[in-house]
Amino acid sequence: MLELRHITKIFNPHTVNEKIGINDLSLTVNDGEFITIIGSNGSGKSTLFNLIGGTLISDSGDIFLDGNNITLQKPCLRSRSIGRLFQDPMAGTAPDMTVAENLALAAKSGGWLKTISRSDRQFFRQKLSQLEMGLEDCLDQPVGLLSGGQRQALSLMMATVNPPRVLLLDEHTAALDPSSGAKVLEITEKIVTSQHLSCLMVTHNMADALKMGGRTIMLDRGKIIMDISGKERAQASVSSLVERFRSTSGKMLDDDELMLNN
Amino acid sequence: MSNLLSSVIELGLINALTVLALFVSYRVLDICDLSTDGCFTLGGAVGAVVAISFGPCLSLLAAVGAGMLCGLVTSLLQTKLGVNSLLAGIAVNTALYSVNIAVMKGSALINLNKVTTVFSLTRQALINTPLAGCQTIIVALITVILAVAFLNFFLRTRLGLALRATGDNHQMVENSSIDPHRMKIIGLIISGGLTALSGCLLAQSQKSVNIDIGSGILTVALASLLIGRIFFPRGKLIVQLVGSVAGSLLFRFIYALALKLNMPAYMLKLVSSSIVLLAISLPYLQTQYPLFIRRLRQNRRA
Ligand SMILES: Nc1ncnc2c1ncn2[C@@H]1O[C@H](COP(=O)(O)OP(=O)(O)OP(=O)(O)O)[C@@H](O)[C@H]1O
Ligand SMILES: [Mg+2]
Repeated sequence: MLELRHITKIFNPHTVNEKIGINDLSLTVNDGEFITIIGSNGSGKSTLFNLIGGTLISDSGDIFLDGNNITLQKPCLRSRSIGRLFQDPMAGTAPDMTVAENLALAAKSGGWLKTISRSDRQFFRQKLSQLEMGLEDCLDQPVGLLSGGQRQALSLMMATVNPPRVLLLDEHTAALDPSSGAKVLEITEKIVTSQHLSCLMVTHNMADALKMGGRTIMLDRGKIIMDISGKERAQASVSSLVERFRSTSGKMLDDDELMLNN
Repeated sequence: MSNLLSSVIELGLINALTVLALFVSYRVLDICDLSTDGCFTLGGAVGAVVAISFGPCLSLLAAVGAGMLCGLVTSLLQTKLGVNSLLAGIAVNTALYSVNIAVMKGSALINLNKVTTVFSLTRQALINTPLAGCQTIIVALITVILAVAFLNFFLRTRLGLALRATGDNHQMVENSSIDPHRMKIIGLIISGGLTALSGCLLAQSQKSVNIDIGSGILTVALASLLIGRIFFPRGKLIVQLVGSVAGSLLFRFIYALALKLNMPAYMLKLVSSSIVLLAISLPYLQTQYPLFIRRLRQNRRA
């Protein structure tokens, strides 16, 4: 279970550049819960993930993962239980290393002085074939030669090969072409549901936000302004979501992307 | 074997250890470690002093240990104290000048003529065998083979993969729950050990060590590494490692040729700097060249 209690993060405080990242936000993510997150540009979605992942440390408030306070823990320690994917397909993999070497780093099987064995390769091949992207035949190719979609699918595999306690997906299909984006989304759903992962997924696509997972929250200026699940969510439509955005935040919806993706 | 060729191979092999050190720090970790010159001299100095007091075998171990310590200090400056990697190297290099003279008990030169070294030891063992007189090449070759074998194994282990990923994609390493700082520390310790071993062997093979023995070695080794890269651009790890050794031999060969053509010996540093700069700027110029031509044409038309 992931628990955020009254988290606040202000950038450049007490200067003209002061920006609210996250403002007194509390959120509980239960085990196996798949939450989609929407909100306009600059509403604090990525900041929220950076705080959970440890690349940013909050000004105040606490973050608990399975009862342990991880608020101040280093990112490299947290990432044992928190998997992350970014919008940039280049972010999650080492381009000069091969597919097998990247996966071996993520899989962490055996000790530090163990090299990749034949059975490891067998295991990687079997894992990669689940992605249905032909990656199982590219074990010895440098990752830099793969397509963006392939790289993102590999990143997803790397983040989940040891099931994390929480998976954070920050617009991880936004930089892909529509067809590979859809493919990666499909794989995401398959992996998250089959492994019963707790997952937070940021998307600008309202339809995806309602279709995937079981709970949707909307951020605005660092606060949760909407949190729907169950029946209420099942009855929500894309247009009602847009309507809701308008009425709650009290400002006109000026986010083109949000509109276009309806 | 001609005298010239054998000295090319000897120096090429001994320097190859520093080239392999740079393979770890520069190629794998993407850190330009400017403490290399001082670390090389440190290896020579410690190796000489220990050889005098405790014999040749211990001298190699002591030199490697001193080099590893030097790598540890440089890496701690970078990772724990937030010192920029170039600055950390420069600071350690400067400090090592004093340290090295202190190690050599206040003098800038130690003569090893009457001291038992790994080479004089091997020389005695080889008397009356077909290999008599080849002690320098043999010792250097064995060391280089061991170093290549070690790196070829180590860089394929999970720890080695983590080291390579640290230079390749810092963020990804952090997301794979590996501490990139720790990887830098481990990498620089290894490269420091190899550099000092290289210095120790050079000092013992030329039977003396002076405070300037390492000056310019970073550029020479970098030039060798880049020459190796030209001939073995991609491919398996072992190919790249052997390519780095070949680059070192090739560099020494080119340099010896230039000497034959009456280039004065003091030009070594200018030559090595030029090779480094050429090897780094040529790929860049290659990408800029077509654009340059198009601009030129456009201007002419206008
Ligand atoms: N490192 C930073 N320094 C200063 N301000 C920042 C920093 N990171 C984010 N911000 C500010 O914090 C606010 C929230 O940014 P954030 O990146 O979390 O938005 P987002 O919801 O992810 O937006 P997008 O949809 O564009 O990705 C913005 O006003 C942004 O300018
Ligand atoms: Mg964002």
